[in-house]
Amino acid sequence: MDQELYLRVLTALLLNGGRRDEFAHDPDATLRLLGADDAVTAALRGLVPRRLEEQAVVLLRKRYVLLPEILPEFFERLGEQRGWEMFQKEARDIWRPAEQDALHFLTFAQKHVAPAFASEVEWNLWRFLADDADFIRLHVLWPADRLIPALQLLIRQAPPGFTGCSQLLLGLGTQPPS
Amino acid sequence: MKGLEPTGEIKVGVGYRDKLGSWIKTKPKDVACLEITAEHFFGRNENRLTWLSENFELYVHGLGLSLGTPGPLDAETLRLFKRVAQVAKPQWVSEHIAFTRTGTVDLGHLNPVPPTRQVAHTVAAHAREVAQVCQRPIILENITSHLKLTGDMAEPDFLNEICELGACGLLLDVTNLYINSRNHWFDPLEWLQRLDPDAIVQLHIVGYSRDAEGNFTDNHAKAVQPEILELAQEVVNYACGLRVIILERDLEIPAPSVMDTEISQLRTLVARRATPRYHRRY
Repeated sequence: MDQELYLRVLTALLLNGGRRDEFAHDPDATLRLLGADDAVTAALRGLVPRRLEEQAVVLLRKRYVLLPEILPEFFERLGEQRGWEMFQKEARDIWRPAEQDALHFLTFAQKHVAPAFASEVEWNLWRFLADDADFIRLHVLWPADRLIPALQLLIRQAPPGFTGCSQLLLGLGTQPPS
Repeated sequence: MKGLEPTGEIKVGVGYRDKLGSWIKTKPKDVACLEITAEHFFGRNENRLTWLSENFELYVHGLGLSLGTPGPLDAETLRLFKRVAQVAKPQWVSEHIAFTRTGTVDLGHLNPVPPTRQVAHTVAAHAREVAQVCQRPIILENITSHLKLTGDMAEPDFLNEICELGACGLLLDVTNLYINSRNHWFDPLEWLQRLDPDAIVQLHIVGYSRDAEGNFTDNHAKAVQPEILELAQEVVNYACGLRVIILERDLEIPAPSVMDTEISQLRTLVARRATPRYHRRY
């Protein structure tokens, strides 16, 4: 049996909830759609859909637990359990690296569920990382409880993409803008 | 296996986590050794690792080499793993019988591989490579999984085959065995007795959890339950080659006094060890 193909097809099932739903309905057709040959189809057609889903949720959860480290203010406001329920809806059908998960989840939450929970500082940071346009960016922030604006300076450290940046916050202290 | 021969002494230690750092710094007298997670020291925290290696006997445990993925090991991960082993100077290193990535995707977690002779050859070849690169023996761990993959071998035979082909030992996670036996309905003692007792070099032990659906899970958040201790006693009695037992805990880290109590329970297992019978399969 082609081991690489076996793992590729199994991984495709684990990372895509829509495919798992199709597999539960028609295993052979789904495996063929994912490129399985006869040997891989024979090896995987007996997977128990409920067990497949449970393993997939473990993987989804592993992705999710990284997000509060990337978006601490957002998750402090949103709450762990609510965030997990939202993330399962948003990310069940797609796999992405953690940084992209953070940005897409933030975008999803802003748009559909809880715009008030997003932190402007974190939002600016993740849009900057996702956007290849600038080497440096300055944001003027207006905290509700301050008369003087705060500044957020973002400097790209490496080539464009989710590769990190330096961030300087002036006038905010440790309090996020509300 | 060279470097993995039983010494007659069984040490009890803990899996080092940052959250345990202040307790570990006190050098608790009953902690005979530490197991560190290699990835926690990839390209960072080398001063801390040096301090740990100067003050404790260390074992290096990897999560992401993905020994079950066919093709070459990830060169960068292997380089970083080797560096950690160089600093930690463990008697052996360990990894999992699992895959965590394919050619294009890093799943970020351990997933099962099908128990087939073909896969045993893949895992064993990768284990030999890691041992050769790190210049140390390697032992491999059984994982827990909701998913049960089928192959042309029973799981214990698969583990024996890997150990033999890879010239490596077994890190038997007692909690994983218990969890799998409950989720997949098999007798853990029958499973255990198919293993080569000489191959079992190290144990992992932690309490299990239950999810909302009643499944047993391995999130390293609970104290060791009596049923796990009972199974662990069977393993300790059975495993002729046993040298180290590691208590794991990642979440809901308890007070040092509770950790001391759990270590004491594991030391009791060793003290109560029945003289290992000669169980060789051959």
